[in-house]
Amino acid sequence: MSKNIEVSTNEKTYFLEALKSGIRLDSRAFDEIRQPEITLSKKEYGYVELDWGTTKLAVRVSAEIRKPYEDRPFEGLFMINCEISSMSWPHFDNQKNSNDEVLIARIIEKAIRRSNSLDLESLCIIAGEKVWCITVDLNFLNYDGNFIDAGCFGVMLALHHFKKPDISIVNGGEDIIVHDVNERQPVPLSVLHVPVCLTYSFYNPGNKESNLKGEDDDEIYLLDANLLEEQNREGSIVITLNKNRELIQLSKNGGIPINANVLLELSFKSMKIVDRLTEKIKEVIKKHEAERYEELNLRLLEVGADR
Amino acid sequence: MELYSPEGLRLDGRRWNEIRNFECRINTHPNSSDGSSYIEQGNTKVICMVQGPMEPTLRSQANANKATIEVNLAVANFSTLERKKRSKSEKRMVEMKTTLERTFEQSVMCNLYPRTVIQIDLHVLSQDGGLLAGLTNAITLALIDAGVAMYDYVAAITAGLHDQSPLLDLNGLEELDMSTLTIGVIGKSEKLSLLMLEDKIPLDRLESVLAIAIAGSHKIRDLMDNEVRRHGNIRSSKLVNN
Amino acid sequence: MSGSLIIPGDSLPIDSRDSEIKTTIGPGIYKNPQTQSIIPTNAGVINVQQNKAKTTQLVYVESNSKRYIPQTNDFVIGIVTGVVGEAYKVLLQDFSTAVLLSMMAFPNATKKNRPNLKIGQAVYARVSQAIPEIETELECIDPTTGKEGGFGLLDESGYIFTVNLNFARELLFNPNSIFLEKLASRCKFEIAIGINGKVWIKCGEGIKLEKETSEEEGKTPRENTRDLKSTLAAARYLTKCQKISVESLDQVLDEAFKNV
Repeated sequence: MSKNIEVSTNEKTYFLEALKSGIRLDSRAFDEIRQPEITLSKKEYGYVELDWGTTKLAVRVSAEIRKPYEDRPFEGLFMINCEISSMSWPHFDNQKNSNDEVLIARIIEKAIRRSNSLDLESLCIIAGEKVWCITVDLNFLNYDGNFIDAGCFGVMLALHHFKKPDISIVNGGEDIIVHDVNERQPVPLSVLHVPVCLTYSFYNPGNKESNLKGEDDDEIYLLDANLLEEQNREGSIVITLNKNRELIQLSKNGGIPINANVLLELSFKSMKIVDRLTEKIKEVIKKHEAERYEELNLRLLEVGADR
Repeated sequence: MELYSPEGLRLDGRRWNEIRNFECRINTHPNSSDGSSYIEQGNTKVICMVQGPMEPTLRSQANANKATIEVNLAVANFSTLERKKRSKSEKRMVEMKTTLERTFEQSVMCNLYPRTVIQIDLHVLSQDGGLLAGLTNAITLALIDAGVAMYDYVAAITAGLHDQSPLLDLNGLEELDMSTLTIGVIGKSEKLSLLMLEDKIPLDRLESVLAIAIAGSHKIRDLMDNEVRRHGNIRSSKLVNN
Repeated sequence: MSGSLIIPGDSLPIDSRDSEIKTTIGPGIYKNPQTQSIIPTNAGVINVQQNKAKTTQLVYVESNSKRYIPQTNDFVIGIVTGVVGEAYKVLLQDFSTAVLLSMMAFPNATKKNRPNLKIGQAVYARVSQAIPEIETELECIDPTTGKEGGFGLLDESGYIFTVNLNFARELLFNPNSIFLEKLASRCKFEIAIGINGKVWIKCGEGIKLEKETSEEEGKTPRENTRDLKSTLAAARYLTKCQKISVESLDQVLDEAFKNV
């Protein structure tokens, strides 16, 4: 059985011809992302399903109490588990990690964990003894291109959605009591900033040599490529930004070279989309919170001020 | 510890736009490989050996249209201050390896060598910042030595941002405290074939960091070019004498 | 009787042992060789068609599945993925086993006069042999005439996309289907539907393959992209048709052709 899709010449020629005339096969603009559709769990804290076009993923956040690393007694633990199975696409092998899978996991980890988007010190319970360990399980359910952008968005959404149970320290720091979520309102995580990954794919309709020499610059850049577009691309770059105009991560793992000016242009252009996606997370979570409070018949407390 | 003094001097006495001592040698292992090189970028030291283009050992590696590039990355246990055993399957290593493979797939004229594999073995002897850049430069030289057709040099360097001022070619200590941008540039152009930034920098500062990084990699390219030409002259003079 | 839902385990709404009526079974129905009784094996809509004299009847279950299993005499669209000996390897569906298309299974083909297909090209073909134990074979000849009969290479000026298997059957076999009629009110098109869920479509000229010729003919690039756009719009329209109700058909058609 073939583990990869075969793209027919018909599709390929249509795709490239359409690109040259400025059209994408799914009638999106070149710098338009697919509209994410979000399902937040109503019963639990920290379970999110995301439909990014037909790319589909599920994120689960969980928390447990552990001993911190010895060299960092004040910091909680934070892990992102990226599970790419052949369920999403037969090409991804269940047994061994292919290079693509490692790259996807690495970039998501760099974007979120390395950039300290979660305040680790706020996860400390008793320094050197007990801290919260937050684990994010990212499961990809269906693949239609662009796991990175969707994955990063999904994880940030789930971190906002998650709440850890409240605790109190008794006996002068000897014991801790973990309160049931029904007994006391659970506490949201303190998220410091929201990184947003944007992947641009490049296509070079012209001659390869003159492109490398920098004689002509007619490459085409597509944001948020789908499966067919990813199969045909000649290079890609992942730009991670947050709404404070900070560049968190840049990664271009080979592929056709791009001009430095283009890189700057793409990064500046991305800011608008970053703002919109960040806003979207805030908006969705706020609405969800309101609904949940209403259901619980509680007065809406100011979020963030309670801790 | 002061990374960048008000007088404009860095830890090791360099100015902001100075690169570290860059030494390179080409054809260092003429008998054991088809192409080889050795580079020192400050205290980062890398040996690179290229085998091929040759017939692949596995039939699945053969691509009917172009050559397959395979990079093996070995980091010596003694390459850092703390002696440590490193596994090859570490995610960071796999990422670097994949990045290098995909970068050189584009700059080597792979379509000239169908059904072959070009095997690149890298040995990191000592690490002091700018590892990915050092590896890239070593591969470029070794591929030239092996006589593999390439479009142009790929010269790589790191640059970082300290407060407001960009610094070129960071060493290990600086890399720990600063966000580091690694770029690989094709020849003397402004085309970036490789890009890696792992920590935050303000978006509006990107331009200045990129600018000195590109200038720095042009400098590296010239130094590599000198070495290649020096070696080429020695070889051609031998041909004349015979 | 026809048109109701049936699920494996249900009993069929007909008496199969009625010797008066000769029963022909179609997809989704299984005959137990020992008892000679027939049972449904797929979930779907049951179809029973009797002739006027009530002497013969046809029973099958209309269902949808993702996996295409080749049956003899199916008309399919396949993508050439390789050459083995004297045959092409053709893929009928992603992630499936490739089937064989002999180079001799073309009209007028001889050892010297072989067809020239390249990897990635698409062919319209008939399944000539489908036995589970051995490799499935295709052919590009009309078996009754020995001529081309519409089979063969589908050229690159048309676009290929995939649809559900039951939608492909609907387009191919349902004479009352309105999807294509609606489309015809918008543009002129040529279409080839494979029962394996692949559809090849071309509106007008599709895309011009050689740029030089289009310039010689004095066609402006704009006219060229119009055909390209309408082909893509048609493909989008048909893809969406799988999921919508008949009422919203016009709206979907308008949406797909918005930019054309």
